[in-house]
Amino acid sequence: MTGRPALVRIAINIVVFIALEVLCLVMIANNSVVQRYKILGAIREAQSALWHRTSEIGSYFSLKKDNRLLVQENVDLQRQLNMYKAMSAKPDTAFVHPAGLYSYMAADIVKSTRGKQHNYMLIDKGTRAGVSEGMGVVTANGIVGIIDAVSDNYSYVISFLNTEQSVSARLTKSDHFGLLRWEGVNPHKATLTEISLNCGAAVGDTVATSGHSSIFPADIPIGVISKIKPVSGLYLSLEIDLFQDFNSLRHVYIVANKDRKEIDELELEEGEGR
Amino acid sequence: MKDNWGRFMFFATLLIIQIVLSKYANVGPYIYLCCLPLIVIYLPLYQETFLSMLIAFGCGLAVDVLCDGIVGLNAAASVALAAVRKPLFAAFFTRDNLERAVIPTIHETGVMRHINYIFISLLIYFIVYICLDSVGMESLQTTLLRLVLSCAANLVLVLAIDYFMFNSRR
Repeated sequence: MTGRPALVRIAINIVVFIALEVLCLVMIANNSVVQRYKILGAIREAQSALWHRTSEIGSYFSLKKDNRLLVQENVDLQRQLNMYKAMSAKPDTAFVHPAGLYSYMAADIVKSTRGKQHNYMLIDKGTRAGVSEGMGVVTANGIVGIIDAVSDNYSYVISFLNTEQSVSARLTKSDHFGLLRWEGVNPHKATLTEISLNCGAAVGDTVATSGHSSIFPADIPIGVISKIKPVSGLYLSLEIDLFQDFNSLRHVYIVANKDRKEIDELELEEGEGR
Repeated sequence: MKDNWGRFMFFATLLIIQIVLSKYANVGPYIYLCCLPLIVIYLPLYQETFLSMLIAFGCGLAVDVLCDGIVGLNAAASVALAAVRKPLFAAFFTRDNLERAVIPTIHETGVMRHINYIFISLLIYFIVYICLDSVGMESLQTTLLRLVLSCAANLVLVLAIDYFMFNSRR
């Protein structure tokens, strides 16, 4: 016995100790009602704590799946919301688009840049998923960009953080609209220009998409006014604090206008006619 | 052979004293007189810990069964004490003590160190015993009072047994 390594002796001692103590506890529990009640209570408490921990670990590993389900649910809710908006906007029309004018598709950002003047992103949906050039990319916090090129499985998005990109936006309070553009400096700020002097804008007012394009649906909140500056006595230039944090962006929605082809064809005909 | 027989008689005597104490020496709810820890403490130090735990378990179980107590209570406390016996001895005494003291008596180890060693051993024994006995049914003050009084009373008992038994043997 003394010839055994110390580690083996310690292991034997621990095993014998635990076995004897468990045996004692079983005997105590079998011989006294109070002790049984308390010991079983403690065992159940330990069991519940263990199960709780196990389920927490399980939940952690299923987070990715849960996230996908939530994103899908968001897409469905967005579709429903659009449908109700369309119905309420045209109460006297005989025809209402069955699922609203816009459809949404969830996508994940594969790669993106933020520190340049002309930023872009790569998302994991392409022509196979029905994505085409010119579709908008949004989140619940605002606009993200416009799809510029598409491959089978990926799309190249020109980010809103691009000095050549501008989006039509309006003041939700007064419905005055102008062009929203990133100035190329601060990724949390943009400038809304060409807003008339009598718009009644105030710091803290919300700015949303105007819907005056076939790319983005109306009323997606973009940000709030943080500074008002008159330009040459005719217009206002409004500094906007963006809701969208481009640094933490991972999941986006591709938004597609269902009547876009029709609108484009009409614009083309009109252009040729002139 | 003679030495083993003497040791067996010593432990048998302690066991009988323990049974008599448990059955007839009722000194109130706060003090539990018990010489079972002494049996565990006085097991030879060359004994392997797992063997000491098995012997402590057997003695504790015998006391529990013979004294009509809750079966397993003394056994659990004795096993806990047997498990920490050697490290505790090593903490209080020198390696020389450990090598010489086949049975750690007061004559072998010195008075103050021996008292401290016995007191800590009793404390461990009674922490396990009282915790399992009360299982949270008593208030903290009552539990602490039981612990302190039982440790103090048993320290006197253990030292008395220690003195008379080993002094008379000398």
